Amino acid sequence: MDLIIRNGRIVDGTGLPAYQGDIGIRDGRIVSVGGRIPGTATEEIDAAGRVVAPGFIDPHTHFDVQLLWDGQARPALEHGITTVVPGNCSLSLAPLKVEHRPRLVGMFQQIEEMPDAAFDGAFEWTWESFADYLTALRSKLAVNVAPLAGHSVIRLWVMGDAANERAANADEIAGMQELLRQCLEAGAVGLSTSFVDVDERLQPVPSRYAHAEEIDALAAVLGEYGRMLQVVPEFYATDITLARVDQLAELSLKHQIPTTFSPLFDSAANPDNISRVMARVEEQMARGARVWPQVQTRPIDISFTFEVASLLFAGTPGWYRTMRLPRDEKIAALRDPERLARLLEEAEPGGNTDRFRKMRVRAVARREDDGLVGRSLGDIAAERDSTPARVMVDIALANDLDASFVATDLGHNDPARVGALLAHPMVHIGASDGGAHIQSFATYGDTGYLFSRFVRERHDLTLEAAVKKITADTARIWGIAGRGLLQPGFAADITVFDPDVIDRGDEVVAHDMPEAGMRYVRGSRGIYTVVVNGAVAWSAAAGGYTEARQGQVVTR
Amino acid sequence: MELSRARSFTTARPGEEWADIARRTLADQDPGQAVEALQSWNLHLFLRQPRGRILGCDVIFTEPPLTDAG
Repeated sequence: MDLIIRNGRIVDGTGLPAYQGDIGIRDGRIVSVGGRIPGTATEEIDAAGRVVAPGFIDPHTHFDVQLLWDGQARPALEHGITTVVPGNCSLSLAPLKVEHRPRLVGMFQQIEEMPDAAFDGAFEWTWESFADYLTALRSKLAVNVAPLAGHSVIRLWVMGDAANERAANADEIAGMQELLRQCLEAGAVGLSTSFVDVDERLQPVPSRYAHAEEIDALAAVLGEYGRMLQVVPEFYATDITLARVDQLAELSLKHQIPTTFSPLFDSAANPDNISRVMARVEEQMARGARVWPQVQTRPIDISFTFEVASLLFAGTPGWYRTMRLPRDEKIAALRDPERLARLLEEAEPGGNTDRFRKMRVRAVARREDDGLVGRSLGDIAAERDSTPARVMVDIALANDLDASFVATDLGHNDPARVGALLAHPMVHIGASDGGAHIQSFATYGDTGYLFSRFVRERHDLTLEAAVKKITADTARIWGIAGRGLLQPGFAADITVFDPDVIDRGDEVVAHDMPEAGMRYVRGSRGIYTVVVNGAVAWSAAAGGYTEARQGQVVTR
Repeated sequence: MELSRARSFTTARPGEEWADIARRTLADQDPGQAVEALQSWNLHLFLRQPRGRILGCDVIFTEPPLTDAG
């Protein structure tokens, strides 16, 4: 054998109770599970006292661009993620004509907060078709990829600028069907679309111009292959989300396809949302429809600086426009009393300071401001006889914009409610957004948080149930064959971890993007070894990431 | 299996504007009042910029919220 993992507590992804045993691997596949494997292997790992589980699958990521320079999808891999699904929310890097690249870059930057440097010179565009994109990707992969094809780029390819203007005609719909067919033949795991996103001009993305006939026609192609339709619904409005559930259910039943919508959030501001949406999902699932709500494990926290336009300011257009200004103009605007007065009125209308009062100072550049770190803007404002928004601006300017703030507990933060939701048999754990929003929050470590918070601390799920949710269930929901279970014949994607320690690390600033670009990340805790297709891709004992590049496009 | 009653909705057909949708879904009402009613049930569309633009994928409710409707 190539690799034997010995003495582990095997949690095999079925949800059945864990048991002690060895796992043997040869040629990238599991050949033996349980019992004592005689003889030796080229490499052996002692997993005594640790859980041996299938590698985790993250079904909602935006690692598309990052994978081109970082096939390890750092830091997802060190959290035990062995397969990622990029291409969500109607955006994928293919199929894409050369002339449409600037449009896609703009959409990625707007929706996923990808900086310029992530595109400029960090990789070479060598493809237009989905097949050629996967060829460019394959040699770099340390993680597995199950890529979605994006509806917005498919529309762009077929309709050009009209993709953002009008309904498609019959010929154009047929063209999109054929293009989607090519993507699925090449290895796409499905189609993603969005009903809510806007592009860099703050205009609806192309997928939002699609009428029912177009979506139905594309779903029909998915039906030919039994592939997934992923959508971003109006998650902030329950009635609309319910309508989307019904639409997806009809498509699922008509074309016999799985569908998933993400995200589904819990919110104190809309406490009935979860129960109403899940009641509808249950009804539709009982009819035989496959409509999987994706729910993230982590609460919603958003960090921001004045250097970039955070999505946190999307609800205050004046602030958003100001944050998008070039640096010098931005500082000038904030120092202009009249313009600042208008911004403050927008932020705190009629003296209502709710928007910024609870936000805290996260980091500062000036040593004399160190005492502000961790304190709320409301607290500092009271001390200075000012207002929260005003002190935020003052702190930012005093630190030459090199100050960061954090809005915590913006929602999805009631552990009892979220825990019950995650344990629901019709909830698909996902929606991490891995690799996106990189300058607002860390989209890594949701799996560690699942175990630390909802298994170990709260007991909302058993260890076995939690593993099943993010391995075998995910593989089955997405039609990813031969993965998600520890069974002979399955791909050797394996995560070894300590169930008493596994967790997400603290959110920290890293400058590991191209040209030392900044992002928020989290390391992992309690993960010991991550195996992808039989190769050790990450090992705590070996100091972290290895040279292994055994990742595959799992649909081909 | 029968679904429980949900708030009814439609989506626009290519080329349809508010008046067209009102005529199609609220045929028994006065046309002007029907448009006003439709817009009042769909403020998420009517109030966005540019004002009242309908996109192909939009959910358009054809009755008020069920809780209000009683």
